[in-house]
Amino acid sequence: MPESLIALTPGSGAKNARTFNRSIGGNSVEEAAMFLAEQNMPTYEVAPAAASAATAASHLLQIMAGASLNVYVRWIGLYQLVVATAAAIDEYDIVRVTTAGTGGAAVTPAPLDSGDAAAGAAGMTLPTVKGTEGTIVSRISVQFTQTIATQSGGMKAQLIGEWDFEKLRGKALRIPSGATNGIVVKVITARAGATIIPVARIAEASF
Amino acid sequence: MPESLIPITPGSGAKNARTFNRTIGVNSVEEQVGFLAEYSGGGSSGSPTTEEFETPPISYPTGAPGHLLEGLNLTRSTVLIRWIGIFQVGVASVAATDRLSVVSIFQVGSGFGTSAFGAPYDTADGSSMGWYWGFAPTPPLVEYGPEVATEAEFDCQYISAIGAQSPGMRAPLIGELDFEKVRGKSLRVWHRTGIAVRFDTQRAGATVIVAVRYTTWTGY
Repeated sequence: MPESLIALTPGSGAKNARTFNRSIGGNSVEEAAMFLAEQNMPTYEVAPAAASAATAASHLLQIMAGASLNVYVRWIGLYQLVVATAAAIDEYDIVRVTTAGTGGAAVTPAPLDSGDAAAGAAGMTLPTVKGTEGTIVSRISVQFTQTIATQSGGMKAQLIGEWDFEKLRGKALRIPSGATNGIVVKVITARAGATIIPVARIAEASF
Repeated sequence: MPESLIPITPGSGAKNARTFNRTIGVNSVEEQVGFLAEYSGGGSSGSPTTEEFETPPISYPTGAPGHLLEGLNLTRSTVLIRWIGIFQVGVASVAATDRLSVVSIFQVGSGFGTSAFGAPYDTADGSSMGWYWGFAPTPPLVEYGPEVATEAEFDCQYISAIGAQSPGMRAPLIGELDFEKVRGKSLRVWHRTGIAVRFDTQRAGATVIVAVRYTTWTGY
């Protein structure tokens, strides 16, 4: 019988906890009222300029952890900015890397709360020397547009792909602390002409 | 009278629990304030292990009905399926809407050409929970895992041509099952049982990525 209860001795009444009374089976129980406080974990947006999708196996976006804090990846979105030479459906992967790529355009994560410290994590688009790839964490397919219609393309049409790791029950995608630990968004198939703005939202914590 | 209260005797004040005071009817009440914490660091018994598995782009096996993907829970605990998604990659010979379903199985079939394990979101949880996945069966000898029951079903619309204009947000995600709701259970898979993504109609030409996200709690 998993439904259960703990008997409580009411206090002096100087303060009252708000509850909702419900009868479940033969039990009269009090369900506590609560609301979600504002989050406290420093959160950052990794928002680079648009990057070319025209090179197969390139690392469109790289996020490396800092030396001391673990990174929790909340969400990654791919927004197509420039049309492709030809419309197509292509695969994109999230892959762990064990060394940092170099030579690309650096991206400094921007804190959503200016009161938070600068991020230890670092972003980069299209490193010329790629980091060492490890496990594939996730794959999706995205559809590139070739022509922009004069009429609406539908809600958020340019969001051609996304990963949402912020779920109620389950861990977010975690990058352990250490400057050699990271993830990349990998272009599997070259898509001539197209550029993508790859956006990521991350948080950092010591646990 | 469902709106209620419990009188509390405040403590000495060395620490203070944050509340929000509200008057409801004639009751002055304190509403508790909490926040959703991050699940614990790797390997903690108080933390769920979360893992994802997806196939590379695969073609439909020949014949119908059949299984695009079969998985067997080889972990020590029950596993909760949070989400299943179908991404179309290669166009179909003919555009169509097909029924797909998730069925429970108790063993993986033979003839699956490829097998693999999922990847945890937190590497401190190990290299894999141990959930075994098979896909891309190699004919002619294909024996699918025996089906026990249909757990869920959905439709997917396969395209046969890629238009030049935008088809809308995340268009290649042609089908998904989201079991991670605020109130309600996820799809539970017991130890030594599994699930399969079943198709009723062979969809020639199409290639798909089949993705599954799942979690387990120690001791469940």
